Amino acid sequence: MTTTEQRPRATAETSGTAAAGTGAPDRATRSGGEILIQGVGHVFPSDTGPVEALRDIDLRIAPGEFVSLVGTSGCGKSTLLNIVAGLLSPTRGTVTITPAAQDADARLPRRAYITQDDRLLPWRTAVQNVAFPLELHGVGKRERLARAHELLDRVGLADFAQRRPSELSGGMRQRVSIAQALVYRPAVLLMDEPFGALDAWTRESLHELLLDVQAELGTTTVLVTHDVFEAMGLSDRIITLAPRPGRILREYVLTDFPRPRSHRELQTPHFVEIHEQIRADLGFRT
Amino acid sequence: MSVLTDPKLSTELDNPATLLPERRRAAAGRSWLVKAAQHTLVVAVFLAAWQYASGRFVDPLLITDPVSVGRQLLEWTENGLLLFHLSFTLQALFFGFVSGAVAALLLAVVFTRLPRLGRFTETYIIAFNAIPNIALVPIFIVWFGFGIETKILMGYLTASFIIFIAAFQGLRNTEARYLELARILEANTVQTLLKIRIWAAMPFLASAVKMALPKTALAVVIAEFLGSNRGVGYLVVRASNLLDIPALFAAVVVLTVLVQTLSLAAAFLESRLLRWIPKEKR
Repeated sequence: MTTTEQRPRATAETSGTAAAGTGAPDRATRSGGEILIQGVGHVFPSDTGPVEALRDIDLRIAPGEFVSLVGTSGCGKSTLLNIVAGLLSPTRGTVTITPAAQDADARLPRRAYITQDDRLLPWRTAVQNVAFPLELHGVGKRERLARAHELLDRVGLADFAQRRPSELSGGMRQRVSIAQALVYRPAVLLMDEPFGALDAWTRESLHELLLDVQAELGTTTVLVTHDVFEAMGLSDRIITLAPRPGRILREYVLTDFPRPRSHRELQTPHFVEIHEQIRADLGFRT
Repeated sequence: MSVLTDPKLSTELDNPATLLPERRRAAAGRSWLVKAAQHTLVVAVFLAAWQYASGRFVDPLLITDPVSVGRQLLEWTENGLLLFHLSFTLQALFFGFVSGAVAALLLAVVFTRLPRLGRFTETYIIAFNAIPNIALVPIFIVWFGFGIETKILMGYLTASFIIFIAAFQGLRNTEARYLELARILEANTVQTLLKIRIWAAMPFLASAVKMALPKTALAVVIAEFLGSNRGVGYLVVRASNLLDIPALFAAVVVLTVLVQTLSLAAAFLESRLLRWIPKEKR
């Protein structure tokens, strides 16, 4: 097991590491943790011999930062996210998540993970799903239901607390997933194509919601997406990955552009240039 | 919030289940009444035809008639024989079924934790079940006598097999995404079992219970056929030995009602346990 974790305490700044992105500013945050990915490589065994999915990934993601990983399919971005999520042990290297010092409840999990296919439990109502992480870690019934209702209200589903996932639309299920992920104030929020299956309108409203709560809670967020516009609209930093083996190509720091960024803003020359560079990184004709 | 993203509006349009629950319930109530009336009519016509045919077209010694059967049932109810025999069968059924279900569930849980041992052992369990369990009854009688133990054992074997196969399959096939959720949320093994695996296996478990309950009752009755001095099965055998045709038919009626009631109860239980699955997917 090479994925390590540290209990809440002041982050020892690992200055001078080879990690990319040390230029990103640390924000004053309430719950964001630091993600340090060092020398991560991963090899999958397969029938036709081992497949190298990731090679030499070094990346530091600052507390409260919003980073998007962009790449063509097969670039290992989901593998990297699974490693950060702790679902997969990397063949080489380490991932360290250091929660914010003032992170109060050490009982609760530090990571949240939202995927394209929601992981809501179909036998539980929306509010029971949102309260589930708290239930697993000994938060009393009254308190966890109160917190779950609060979060459901926050994502605009106060009236749907008693509905089961099968009675909700895809967009509403993702809202519940976001509420469930944020109810325990995780140090890091990991998202793998969370809005991929949704229509453009729903996606945009979820982008707004995500930016709001992310700014409010300061949760460190890593988003895997193939939608360059989505990445440009939301991120502090975009990392492009090259495929076979997956490795970091380049990074684009967007901290100078305040959010929310309007659709019109994303059409300005600066963003058009970034978009074209990213397309070039990914091997598309610009 | 814009109209397009208004969640309330979009579900009501998307999902017929959210449309006017009162109206659906009223419709369901009416159709239930209609169905009940239809069934009553069919049964009434059947009984009338039977009563009419007996003694006119067919020798009453062969098919007796509904009135005699009813009289026999009434007599058994009045003299307590019905309760006496039914309670014996129900007791054997209860202990056999509950012990079988508990043992099957525990074994399935253990085998889910030890999947290789589970798959290895499953082969033997399935092979053992290939023996017609009616053939085992004489052996059990030699071992345990004519008492309730033999019947409980038959019930136990029947229930435990059906429930074990379903529970093992259900528990080990929990969807990967739910197990990933458990890992992300740092649920421990017991929580993963009780809060995720058991629920995910619920469709398997519920249909196993639905199948197992009437089958267990029949297994108990078969054990009673083959050696007993109590129970609904014994009622059938005694009537048959005495060539008491009304009593024989009455015993079969008791048996039918017993099994049918259990089937309905199990179906009701299933629908309660699976309320969270939309009806069209059940």
